[in-house]
Amino acid sequence: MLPSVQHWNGYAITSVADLPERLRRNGRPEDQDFLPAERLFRRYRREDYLDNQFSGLGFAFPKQSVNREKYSDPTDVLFSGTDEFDGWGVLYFTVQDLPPRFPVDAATYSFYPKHVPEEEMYPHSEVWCDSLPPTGNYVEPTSKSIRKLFRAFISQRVRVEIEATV
Amino acid sequence: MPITYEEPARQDEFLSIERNGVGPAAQELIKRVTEDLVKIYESVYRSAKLRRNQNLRRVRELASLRSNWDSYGAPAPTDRSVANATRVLNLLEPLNLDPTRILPSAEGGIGICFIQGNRYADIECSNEGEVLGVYYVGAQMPELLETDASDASVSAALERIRDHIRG
Repeated sequence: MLPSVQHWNGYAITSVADLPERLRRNGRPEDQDFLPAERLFRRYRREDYLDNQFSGLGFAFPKQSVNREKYSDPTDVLFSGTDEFDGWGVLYFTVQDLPPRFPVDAATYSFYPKHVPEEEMYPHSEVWCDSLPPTGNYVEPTSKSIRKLFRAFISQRVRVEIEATV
Repeated sequence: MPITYEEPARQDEFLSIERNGVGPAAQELIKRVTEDLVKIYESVYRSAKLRRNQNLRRVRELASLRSNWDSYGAPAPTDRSVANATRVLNLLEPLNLDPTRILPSAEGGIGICFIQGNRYADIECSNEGEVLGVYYVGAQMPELLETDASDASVSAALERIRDHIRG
């Protein structure tokens, strides 16, 4: 019998049947308490990492998906029932790497983590953006320049947790 | 007038000869020097052509990516981004600047990256037709390179990248 598959919200295709119990939501609520040092994990391929620098081209708006450390092991972002992420690496940045005021010289936006649990991936979170002063909602920067600048900014702060081999 | 000549077979040894040297041995040496300089020139030219062809091939490869290639829902590059990336590579040629890597963009499109030590720059051709760059050193605040996607403004951005990468 083929494994059951689920397409997460822009996330990954995995065999839900093999999903560790701790990753299931099981009715747990959202938790928006993030400590500054909490790590946010994301998988990557070797080609995105050039001479010890991660290219901002590997990041995207809007609402970039990550797994939060509070409820996730680094390897959870590589979980797949079909081995599709064999050889991929895991990188992370921390909550305090997300700028509360951006750009620094003329702040108009704020970036922060948002816990967006999914039924089959409770640690799932997203990088959200709000305007300044805050609206409390996700605000997409109208300027592509801000997006480009932020992607470069966060790529400078990325660290490798598990090195990619593919 | 003395010229310096690097013997191809023995790279640690240099010879100095007079262009107006007389005698069969000197004339033979001048002939060999000239032939080898032509070979070196052609080799440099061929290498540049080879790299350019590799870069163009890479852009064509990226054109065949399917959406969700990064497993996070990234769009596939559009024909528009492929055409602009090809144009950027053509505009790079007179600058004698080689990309470090050509990557798909998670935002949709194709990016051309340049790295030298802790100096980074890229120019990104979006699926919507925009051409936008960024450059920085280490953890310094990134600087934007905005263009109107015309040849002139993209060339100006590439010149800035060249100056940045070469320090």
